Amino acid sequence: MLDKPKYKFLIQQYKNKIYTYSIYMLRNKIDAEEVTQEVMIKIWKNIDQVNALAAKTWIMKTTNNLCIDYLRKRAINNKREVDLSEDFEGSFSNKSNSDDPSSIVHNKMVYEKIKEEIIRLPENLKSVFVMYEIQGLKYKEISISLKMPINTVKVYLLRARKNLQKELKKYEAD
Amino acid sequence: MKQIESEISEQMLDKIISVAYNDASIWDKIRVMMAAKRNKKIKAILDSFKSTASEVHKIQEEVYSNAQLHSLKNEAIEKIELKNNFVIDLLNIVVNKPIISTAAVILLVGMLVVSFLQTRTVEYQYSQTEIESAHQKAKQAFAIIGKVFNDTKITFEEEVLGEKVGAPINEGFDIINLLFKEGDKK
Repeated sequence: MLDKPKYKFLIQQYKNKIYTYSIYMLRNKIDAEEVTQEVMIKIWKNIDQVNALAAKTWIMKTTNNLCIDYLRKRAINNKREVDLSEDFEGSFSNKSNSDDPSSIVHNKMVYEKIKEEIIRLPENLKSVFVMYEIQGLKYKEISISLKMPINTVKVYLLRARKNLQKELKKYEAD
Repeated sequence: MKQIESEISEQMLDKIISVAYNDASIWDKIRVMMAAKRNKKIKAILDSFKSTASEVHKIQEEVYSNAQLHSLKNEAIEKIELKNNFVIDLLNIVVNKPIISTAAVILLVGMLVVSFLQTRTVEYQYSQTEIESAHQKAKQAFAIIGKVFNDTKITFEEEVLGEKVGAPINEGFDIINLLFKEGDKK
């Protein structure tokens, strides 16, 4: 399966996007891995219909739909919301370019705090924010992936930025 | 910050945020920069959003490792390969490979033609005696039909037309003639 060139190309191009989006939406590394696997299986099943050069929106739409399904199942099963502090320690890759220990610690705290606040955003705002700011998708691609008008994408993005700023201000005030 | 933001119009705030996140138009950038130079409050908001935007833009995608990819191959894909059956594989080959589907069509047509040729009805060979006997019987049948038609013609002409139709008409004419003669006498 991984030997098929088209499939290999798609997986290498989009595996990180799928995984990143799933982590932010599901707040849970294990569920994110499961969703990522399921998306890859769907890609394999539809490999002959997928246009390799225009697969991004289809793949992101599939990922979003699966994440929504997982969230619904979680809500139905009344699973306890994962404690963010427990789950995200070590979930995200830590990157720092500075050598100063205090600077490293500070940067890491700010970095982690921003990620936490992104995850706390409402689902509709978070999906747009993650796709635009972290994954670099364009307005039109997000519009197609999430099945919403472009103007709605822009409005949600603006609201997400305002919400994020408001929560970070609270954190700084504390 | 909230109070400061409420003093600035919502439209200006939206432009400030777009400039901070670096996706505003050139005109909006100029407007916001000029407003920030004149108004310290606007500059404070802009700097605050720029700081957040800078941190957000540092966030990179999480990496799905190759080890996880190979575990996907081992566990999940084997299930998929087991689910695929011969019919689906055959359909995929026929539909997706034009040369193979063309060959399949030619083979099918060839088989149909061969089966048609092999199941042609065999002509029965009759003997001379059988042919002559059949001829005689046909002649007899036609003769019977001819006699029936002749008898019908004679019956129609002599009995039906002559007796049943013609006679009453003649009687009628005789009566009329008699009446005319009696009328002349008077």
